[in-house]
Amino acid sequence: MQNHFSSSGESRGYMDQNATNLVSGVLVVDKPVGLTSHDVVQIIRRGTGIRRAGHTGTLDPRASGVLVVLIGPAVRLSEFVSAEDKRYQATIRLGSSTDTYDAEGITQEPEVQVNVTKEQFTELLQEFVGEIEQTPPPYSAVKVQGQRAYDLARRGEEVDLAPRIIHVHSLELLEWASPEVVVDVHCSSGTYIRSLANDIGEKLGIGAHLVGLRRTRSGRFTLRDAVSLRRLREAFETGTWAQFLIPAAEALADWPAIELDAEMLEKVRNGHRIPAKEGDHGLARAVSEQGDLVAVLEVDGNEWQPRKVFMS
Amino acid sequence: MQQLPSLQGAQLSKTWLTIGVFDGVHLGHQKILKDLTAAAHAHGAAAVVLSFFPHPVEVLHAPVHYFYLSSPAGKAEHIAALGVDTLITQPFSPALAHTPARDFVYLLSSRLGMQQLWVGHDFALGHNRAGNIPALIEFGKEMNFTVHPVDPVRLNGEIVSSSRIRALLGEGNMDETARFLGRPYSLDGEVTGGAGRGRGLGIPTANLALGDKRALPASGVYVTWATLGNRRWGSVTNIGVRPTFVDQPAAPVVETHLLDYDGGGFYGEILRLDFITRLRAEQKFSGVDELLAQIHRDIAAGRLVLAARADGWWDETLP
Repeated sequence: MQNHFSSSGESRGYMDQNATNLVSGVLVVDKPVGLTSHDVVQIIRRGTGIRRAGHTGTLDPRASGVLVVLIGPAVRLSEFVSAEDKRYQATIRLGSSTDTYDAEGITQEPEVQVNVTKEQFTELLQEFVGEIEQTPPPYSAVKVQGQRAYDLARRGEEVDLAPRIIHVHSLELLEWASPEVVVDVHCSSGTYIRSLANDIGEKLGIGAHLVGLRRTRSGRFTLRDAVSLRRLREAFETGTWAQFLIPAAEALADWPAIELDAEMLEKVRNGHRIPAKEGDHGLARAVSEQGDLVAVLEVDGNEWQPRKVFMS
Repeated sequence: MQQLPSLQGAQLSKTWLTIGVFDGVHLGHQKILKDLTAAAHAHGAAAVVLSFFPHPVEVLHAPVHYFYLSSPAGKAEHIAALGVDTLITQPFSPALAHTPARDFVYLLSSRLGMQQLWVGHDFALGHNRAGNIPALIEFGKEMNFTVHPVDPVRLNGEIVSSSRIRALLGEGNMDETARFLGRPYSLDGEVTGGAGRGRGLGIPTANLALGDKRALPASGVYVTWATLGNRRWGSVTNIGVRPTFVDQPAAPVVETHLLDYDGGGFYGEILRLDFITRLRAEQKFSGVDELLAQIHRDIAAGRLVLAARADGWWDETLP
């Protein structure tokens, strides 16, 4: 039995060709502006010599901040890590809207004088807090009838995107330098900050578009956990990058944990259900008595159904 | 690859031919040229390309500016790399445009010994575009060649075409441009002194003399590879009118800063830039300090992009 999700840190440190197959974990990177999220993964693949790596929650080239890269067998956590809440620092320009909802696009109408006060703006922000409907930007990677929305939009075709429900946990004004404002957005995965900026502009009646975006948090990882690519590359050079590797199980550390005894462990490892308690709901991580991540479980009726088993 | 300056002087035999402008030698062009070459060689025939310069649009309509995706020399180089045996670069003229289709096809048959003609479905040649595919098939029966219509190449459901690539360049979308071209977009020209302001800032740049014919990416800052002779440097390239400075030149300026440059003087040398990605739009800065700070950020991002995009096994995508 080989547990790639051991949180004991045994896989850190020494890394010859064989050992690299065992490396599993998370690198949290502060992505700079100008690189695609995929570029960051390529730098990490090259630096670590580990091909099996992938990022969660794509950050646009123009955006910076927290990018979570899963390495080795930890890539199997991708769907769960991607679905986690995000937090952004968004710079919005009031007074003009663009077709892409950001500074890359073409301005729709001449810029208008911003006649909104800081107080009015702060109050308006609260209308966007909670469960809200949001339509993705026409220039987005969302697929419409099998094609990327931005491919259609670029060809000048009408893009009819369905609105979706997203959750804005909080939306606070950080800086008022009208016509540019900086807001802190804490939201569910899948929220388009460009759409939020555009919708705010529409509600103000003067238009607005996103001019800067920095992700300050992804799931449980914040900028404090993030390493700059410059430092990471230096660590690749000196062979000390493993100091930045976070055990994979940490990615789900704030999830409810179900501790498995030997009997339950055997069941879960074989994909069988185990009983749930009254009030259990949603997803949980199953951990062994040693604290290792065994599986992701989901409540179904009054039982936990293994959704993904990591230890077999 | 043999190169001929016109049809008139040609005397070839046993050839399989394709005709077109082939500006940029993009993915669609590459497919037809590769397939033609392989098929011709399999039949013991020579693969021949009949291309035109200037672009017919320039001759029939009006002179174009910032239009060409490749220089004639660059085009020849790309075509040669695909294994083509002979490239004929026929000067396009109003007289040629008015040649009746039948006469032109006769010229191809007699001068080139054309056995097979490969063209796109919407292809037509000769006066009033009378030589469309059905007409060519008829001529073929008489002059003993066959016509092989070729399907267009698609990427993301879009037909790969030179005009599509020009539009992508206009957006500064170099990643997508490279996918349609099958290689990064490149510009080459002589290095000129420029205004020398970069050097004053501690960021020496090479300005490229390009004229007004080659298509330019949208103004902005780009990550590029710069090739001088047989050496290559990463570089950060600015295309634009340098809005920070007062004495703006009228035409767009292409200037590049070579990272870690350790070669000699490059003025007067031919420098090629391969465009990898766009870092940002052109910006107006309140002062030199702000500009410098941004240039240093651009350089740092440029280094990382080049590190990420270097070739290697890590390019493979994982399931």
